[in-house]
Amino acid sequence: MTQAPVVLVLLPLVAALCALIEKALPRVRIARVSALLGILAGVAVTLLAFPLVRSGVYPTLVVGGFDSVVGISLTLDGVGWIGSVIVLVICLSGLLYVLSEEQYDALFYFFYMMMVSGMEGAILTRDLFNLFVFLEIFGIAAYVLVAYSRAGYALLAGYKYLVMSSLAMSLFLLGVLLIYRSTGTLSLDRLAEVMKGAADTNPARPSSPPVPGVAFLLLIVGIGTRTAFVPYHTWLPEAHASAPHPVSAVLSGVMIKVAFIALFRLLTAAGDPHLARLFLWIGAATALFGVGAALAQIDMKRLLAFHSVSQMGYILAALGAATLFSGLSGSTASTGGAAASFLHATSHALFKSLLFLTIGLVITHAGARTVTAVHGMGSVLPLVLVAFSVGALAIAGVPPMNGFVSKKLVMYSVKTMPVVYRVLWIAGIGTVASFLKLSAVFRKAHSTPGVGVTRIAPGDTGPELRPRIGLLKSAAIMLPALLCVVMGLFPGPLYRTVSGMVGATVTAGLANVYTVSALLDTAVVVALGALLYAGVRTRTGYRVAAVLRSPRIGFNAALSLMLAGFLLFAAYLM
Amino acid sequence: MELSPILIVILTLTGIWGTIACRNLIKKVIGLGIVNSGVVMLFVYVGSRSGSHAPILIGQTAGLDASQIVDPLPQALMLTAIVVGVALTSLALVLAYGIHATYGTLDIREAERRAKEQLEPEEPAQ
Amino acid sequence: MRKTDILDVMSRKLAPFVMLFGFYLVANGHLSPGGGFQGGVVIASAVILLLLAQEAGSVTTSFPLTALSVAESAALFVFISVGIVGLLAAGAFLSVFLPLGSGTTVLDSGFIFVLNLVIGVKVGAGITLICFHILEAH
Repeated sequence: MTQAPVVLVLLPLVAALCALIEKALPRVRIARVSALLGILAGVAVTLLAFPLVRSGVYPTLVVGGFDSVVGISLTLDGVGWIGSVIVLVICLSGLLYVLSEEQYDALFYFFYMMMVSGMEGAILTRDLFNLFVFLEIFGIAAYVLVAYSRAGYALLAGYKYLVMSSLAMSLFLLGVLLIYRSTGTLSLDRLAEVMKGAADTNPARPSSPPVPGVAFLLLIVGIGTRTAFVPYHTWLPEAHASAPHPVSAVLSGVMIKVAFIALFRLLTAAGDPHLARLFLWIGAATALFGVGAALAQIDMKRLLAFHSVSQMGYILAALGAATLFSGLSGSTASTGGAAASFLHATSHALFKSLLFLTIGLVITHAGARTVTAVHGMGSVLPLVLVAFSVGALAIAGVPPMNGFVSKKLVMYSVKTMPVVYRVLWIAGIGTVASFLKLSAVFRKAHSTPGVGVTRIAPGDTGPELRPRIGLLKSAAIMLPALLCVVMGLFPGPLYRTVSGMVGATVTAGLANVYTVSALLDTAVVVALGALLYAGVRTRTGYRVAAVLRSPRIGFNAALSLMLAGFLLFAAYLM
Repeated sequence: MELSPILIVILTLTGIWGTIACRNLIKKVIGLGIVNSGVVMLFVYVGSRSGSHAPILIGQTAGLDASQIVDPLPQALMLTAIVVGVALTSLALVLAYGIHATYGTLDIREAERRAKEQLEPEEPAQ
Repeated sequence: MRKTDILDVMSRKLAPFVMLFGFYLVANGHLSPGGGFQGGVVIASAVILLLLAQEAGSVTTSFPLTALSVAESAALFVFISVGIVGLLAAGAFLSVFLPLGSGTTVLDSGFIFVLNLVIGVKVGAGITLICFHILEAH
């Protein structure tokens, strides 16, 4: 079991190798089977490692058998375990969707498994440069998968993702350079020791910190582009909307979470609470901006992609409220911020991938991508309607889904910051409104004042024309849906597990989840959301939405926005 | 301050400016290459300040003290960074070629405009 | 490219030497500047030289696409196997399990020589395939 970390990285890599062999020799058809076996074996290893990790014994190994001071170590700690579970479960449901379609050849499986392997490696590594390598591995796989359909807009989305991400990764390398120059080590554990040592001798902000603050800022900018918070999010809506449907699910569900886990590891190593507080404001701004932009969209997948940005804002705001970084994890001041952020990351991974897979099925069967062109799919695809409802209720924060639990915990963790709390609350209203808008594709068509003639979905003429969704696709959407419901019904053990894994020992906030006041609060949010949706559907609403939709930031402006963000963060830290 | 790191930083900033400001897709990729080279050179420079001999422990350098040998770790790291850069450059060029084949232009604004038309061909009539 | 006599003759005379130099870089990677990636790129450049100066048909006869793809996959397979054998034999992924002497000759360097060779083949095959596809030589 000591070998568990490297086995988790190797299993998808061997599956990728099998896919590459099938690409070279097309008659050896081992790609699909090996992909499925690879992910299932990874799930098995993760489950087997659970008792060990839960009790605090983390399997660690150093690649090559070198001494841990000089070598690259891989550790399956609590955070890594949560990350592995998220990666493997979501990639499993995505893989089930991929297996059910004929159009994906061996090369697709190769990049898919390389993406899984890279994500596992990024979660489990304790070395900064190894983190860079794994981030680039799954990044390259992601660029290729986004552009896989070879349509013009997909190629453009992949290109923009590539350029923005590469620029950010070069800045990440600069940060690594500064850290290496000042501490002589690249290992996250040694870095944590150095930073803690400096903080212990001078508890107030040290005047000459061992590592220049700009180094951490560069690292945050580098990883931040992958995590897609404002202002580094501009690649996300196009990339996630133009990718093939299972790839969108995995990208939105897992990839931004892996970058978030890397960010968490960085902040733990830095141990600077001032740096962590920055994320309160980033999170709030991202949540509000994401929801506002999402409400204005008419392309279904682009709407979901903007919601990914917004929910990542919730996760980052909870992280900003965590007291883990200043070493106060067991004190009464803790509001459970770190555990809430990880719980929301897990919930979001499940319901967002569920939403992308169900909307993908709707788009495939209806033949159109916009909310205005598709109606009445509820009677055509009833199973998809059920799964979509689970996902939409979860993201809107309605009980008994896991989204309700994790959102309430996130709001509880920021309750000491009233501004952030209000902003997240308003973003919740916007979420409800935009999912009411999205669910219009399932409702029957009716003439709405102010909207022109819309196309009715094909196959809407009766139950005998209902298309069959295969077993694999049904499994692919039912797996996350069931997990959403189960996680929502049993929040207690889940929260305590996540809390223990993250290293916090406080279970505050759990008592506030299924209380009358929380349910009343949710009811108020839903009612206001319905009101907002009604407002959006009026004539003024349409005009405002069109205005919000039209200024597509050109690519050059997007990149300048990245730089502006960097300068803003630097000014905050001074 | 020595002259070399300042020049390398100016080079890197030029590359960043090129990536952000140029409208041609290929020029953006060239800008990325310049940024990559600048970062690699900075790393190697930082590593080279500790000594002046190549880090190979046979032959002439066999009996040398550790402080006289150039730090080998940044060189090894930069090999990996160069490999990653090559892979990214080739992928970016293939994507740019595909964009040109589909839209007939290498200008980023023109390509974005045509992609937007392709995705949302009609706005719902008010 | 328009085929001229000078390009044709010179490329056919130069390419084997370039490839030999590439293999030299790969084999001496642990002793002097060089190694898997660098040598692999030089090997690929020999094939690209031939591709640019000759007509595409003759180059793909000497270096068929299937053979390059198989070489690529086989090289990755050998690399991962070496790592896994290290895992099984000595307890950590990529542990050294072949005899490690002073490191000056090929046989004394543990498995570094094997890894260099494998990476050289993979990179050479990979970059050649990239250029085949970009230059539409299939």
